[in-house]
Amino acid sequence: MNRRESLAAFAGVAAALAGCSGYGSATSESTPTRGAESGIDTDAPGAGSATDPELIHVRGATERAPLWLADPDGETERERRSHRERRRHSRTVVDTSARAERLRVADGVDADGLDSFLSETDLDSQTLYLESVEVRACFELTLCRIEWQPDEVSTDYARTQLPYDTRCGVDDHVFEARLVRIPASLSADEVRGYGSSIGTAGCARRNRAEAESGDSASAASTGGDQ
Amino acid sequence: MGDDARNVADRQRLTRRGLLAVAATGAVAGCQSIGGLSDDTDEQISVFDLPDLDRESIPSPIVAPSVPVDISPSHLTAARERVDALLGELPTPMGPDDIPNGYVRERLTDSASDATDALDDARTARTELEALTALGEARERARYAAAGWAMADEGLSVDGLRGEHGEIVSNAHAFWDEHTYRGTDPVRAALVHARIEDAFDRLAQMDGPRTHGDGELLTVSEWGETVESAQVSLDDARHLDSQFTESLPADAGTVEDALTSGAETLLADVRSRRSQLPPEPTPEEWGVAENLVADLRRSIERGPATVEDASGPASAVVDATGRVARSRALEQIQERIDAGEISGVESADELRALRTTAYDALDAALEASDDAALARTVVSDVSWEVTNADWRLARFDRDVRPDHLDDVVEGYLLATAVAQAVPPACDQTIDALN
Repeated sequence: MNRRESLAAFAGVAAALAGCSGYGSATSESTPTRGAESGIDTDAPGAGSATDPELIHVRGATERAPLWLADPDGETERERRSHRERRRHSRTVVDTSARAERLRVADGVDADGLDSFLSETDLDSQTLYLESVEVRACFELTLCRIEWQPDEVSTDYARTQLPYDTRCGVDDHVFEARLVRIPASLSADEVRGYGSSIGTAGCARRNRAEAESGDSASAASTGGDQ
Repeated sequence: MGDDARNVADRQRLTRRGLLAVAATGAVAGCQSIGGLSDDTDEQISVFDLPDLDRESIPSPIVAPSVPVDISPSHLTAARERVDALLGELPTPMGPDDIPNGYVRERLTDSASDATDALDDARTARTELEALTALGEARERARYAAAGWAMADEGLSVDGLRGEHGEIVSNAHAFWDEHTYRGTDPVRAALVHARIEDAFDRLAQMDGPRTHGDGELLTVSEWGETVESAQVSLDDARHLDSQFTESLPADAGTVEDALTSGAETLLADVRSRRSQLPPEPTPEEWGVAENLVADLRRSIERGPATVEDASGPASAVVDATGRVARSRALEQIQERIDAGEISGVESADELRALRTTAYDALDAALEASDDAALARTVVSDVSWEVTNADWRLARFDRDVRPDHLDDVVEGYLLATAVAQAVPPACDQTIDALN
């Protein structure tokens, strides 16, 4: 495991911890740091960010990620990955139709719109990013921002409480999986670094802080219906 | 009251040692930490030789704070009844049908539980002031739970609570406008009025809770707690003021000028002593001596530079007395460092001796000072250093390298030096006020 991979793995653990705030990760010596949270220079060629990307969101009280990428040989990725940390936070890049066909949804999980979302994605000019995070059942995540460059993808979430009249168990956990459409062509083979942060401040505040600290908004692309 | 530090030192329960003895019988295999099998075995201090402390029984602080005015039993009873009334509004037990969100429900039940614990603390408090403080905390925590439940049950809103808060703040300003620094003995007046000033200051500076990341119901809870906290501050300030006034002769005048000029004299001394300090060292290696000096310097520099910067002249007097004591302590520590007398410990016996010395110094300071109430206020504050050192010590559950005890050593040394400086600092304050 090189430094970047170890940082990315650490990011997964840190981001999955309930209550952690604003953990930034996935920096590397070769990547100029522009933002407060990630090490991605969104002004660099092939890089960018989005604060409201098009995506499919699946939330389920499943034991493992409710939306995942099966392995080509039929063995599912989630079966193969037994390490606890991998199960709690996983991510992968979907850059080809062949990989997209390997996307699976857990039984009983509502993934309305997935098929049309996939068919409307042009994988020649766009990329899908699948990220699954375990979260305490009385909370939900909102994706505030996704940043990318040819070898790295980073996300930032706001964690908010569910309304007091929503029934949930204080010790229960659920998975939230997001299939995000990145308006750029990335290669799964080239993306080696992943980062993620979760904070309790809302997206508006988090994105404002990010914009003030790094001027990364200049390269942002927006749109879609989260 | 002079022996309360000693009583604490003598009545530690044998908890960690007992637990370790049980654990060691089943867990020695493969565990390097028990039995000290590492390379530097001979440098380790056995955990069994350290003072055996139970964290829960370490008083916080070691010397109970007090205020030289009677707190009426009826005032304490009213606070207790208020807590009971607030807790009585909650469904018991609070279940998913009451608050379906388990996290929110747990926050409310935890808060109610905190309130009950604080009621217990008030019952076992060593001084009336400790009881008053614990009851205030109980009211705040009970209101947090009650306000949250009221939001779910009857639609209590932040707007309503914000209005209530504004009214309390307005009443507090009216109280403060009427407040005068009545007194006969300026030292006693300083100690009572300092509590009143601090309560008003706390209330006036709190314009709303931090509700970062809280949902709708817990935001109402936070506001409920803030409103109650403001009301507690006002209730207690009014009570202390009226009790103090009642204790004075009818013709007692104001001591405000004496407090102001006394505070100015003391703060001038703090500034003068600070200006005579050698430049702050920037050592390459930080040990006990360096940390002690840095901690004392920080605590001397912290706080109001002038009377205008303080909550008022009374709290400026109390604060300055503590800083004069710390300045004197730093001078003494510096001399001991120059004489090569300050270092970490190499044995458990040395640590025990330092701890005993610290406890003795707290007791001696209470007994030797010419004004017991003033001494208690300053000594109580510095006795937090001993509480913190004891807490750190209680955490060790395995053999320990001597240098890992440095922060514990620092706590005892600092408390000892400041406690020894309390009698002359108190004398200085008495002189400045008279």
